[in-house]
Amino acid sequence: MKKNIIFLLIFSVSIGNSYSQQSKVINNSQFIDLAGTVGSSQGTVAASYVYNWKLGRRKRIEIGIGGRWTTYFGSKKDFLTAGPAKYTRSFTVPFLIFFAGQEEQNFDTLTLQRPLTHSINATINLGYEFSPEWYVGFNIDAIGFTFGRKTSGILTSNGITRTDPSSKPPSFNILLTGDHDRGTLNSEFLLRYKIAPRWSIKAIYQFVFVEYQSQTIEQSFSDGKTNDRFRNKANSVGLGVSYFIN
Amino acid sequence: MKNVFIIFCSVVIFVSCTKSNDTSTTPGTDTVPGGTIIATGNFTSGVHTTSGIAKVYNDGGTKRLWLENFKTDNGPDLKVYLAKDINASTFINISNLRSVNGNQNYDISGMPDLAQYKYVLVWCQQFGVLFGSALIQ
Repeated sequence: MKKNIIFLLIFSVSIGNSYSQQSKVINNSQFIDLAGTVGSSQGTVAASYVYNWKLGRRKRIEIGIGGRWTTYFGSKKDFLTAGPAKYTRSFTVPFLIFFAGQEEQNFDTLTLQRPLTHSINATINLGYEFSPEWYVGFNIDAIGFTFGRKTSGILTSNGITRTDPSSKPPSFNILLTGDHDRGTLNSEFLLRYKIAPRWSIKAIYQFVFVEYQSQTIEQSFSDGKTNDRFRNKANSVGLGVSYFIN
Repeated sequence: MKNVFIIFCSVVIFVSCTKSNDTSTTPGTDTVPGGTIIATGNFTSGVHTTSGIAKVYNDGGTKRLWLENFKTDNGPDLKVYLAKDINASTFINISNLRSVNGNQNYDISGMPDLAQYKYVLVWCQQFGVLFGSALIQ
């Protein structure tokens, strides 16, 4: 009798467990991501960790946060005046600045010979799973820091060329929209396809801001203010793989 | 999956590697420009051994730079600058250096003031290194 009671107890517990596992809904998605892009004389490699919450009745919408390491490398790349925004854009309202015209007469060029930066940023992620295999998403760096290689630069201003022997990337990054941004920030549009239960491959269109500061020379604006921040806005395409932790 | 990862890394590494462009070692055989010499000076070595003579000719208002019996070490991305000092803090990029030795003739575009741009530099632009310089006067 005692044996039967124990058997029934174990059986009922195991049935209960399996039933609860079947009915358990996964409310989040965690994965590690590796991506590479190639552009004209430049490229990036990025590794990230993502934690997304699944939203909606069918849990297809994802929103989340993460952290991303981005390494950018280039050769003889032109970095243009990075700000302040009041000198580079026709108006400077945050977010609406995307639609502002460029004040190209205030743009100078810092041509960097061998830029190389490493950035670690917190990311914001959005996505939609439109079938069990296919997923489309967007992510963007929000805040973080950068370190990188000093490199020789040539500042071209009003037809005069000057050498800055050791331009270097600024250490702080923050997303403030458009030309208000500071530092090096990465963003991706991605299309992902699941190839195995824990593995996906993805195609990405990347937009990355990379910033350097001149050290010995500065750009002068007509009102006497100066600028030492220069930015390369790189559009690239690339590939990546994702490994799902849960 | 391992193969996919290896292929992915290989593509990234392959595409990101570029060949370094060294300067030709075939001796320059240009002919001496016409006109009159308006400035001249001997090359002295910078980080690399450099020798020869730099001369600027004025041929009917057109300025030309003549490098005579020129010789320097080879390196990547070598340029010929006219500069205000030997640090290339302000400079005019005349041309890529066509050969690391021999006689060479370069057009000088614009009308640079040679009282200010008084140095001819052989400069590695990629690494910001002075190979040699000549004070022309």
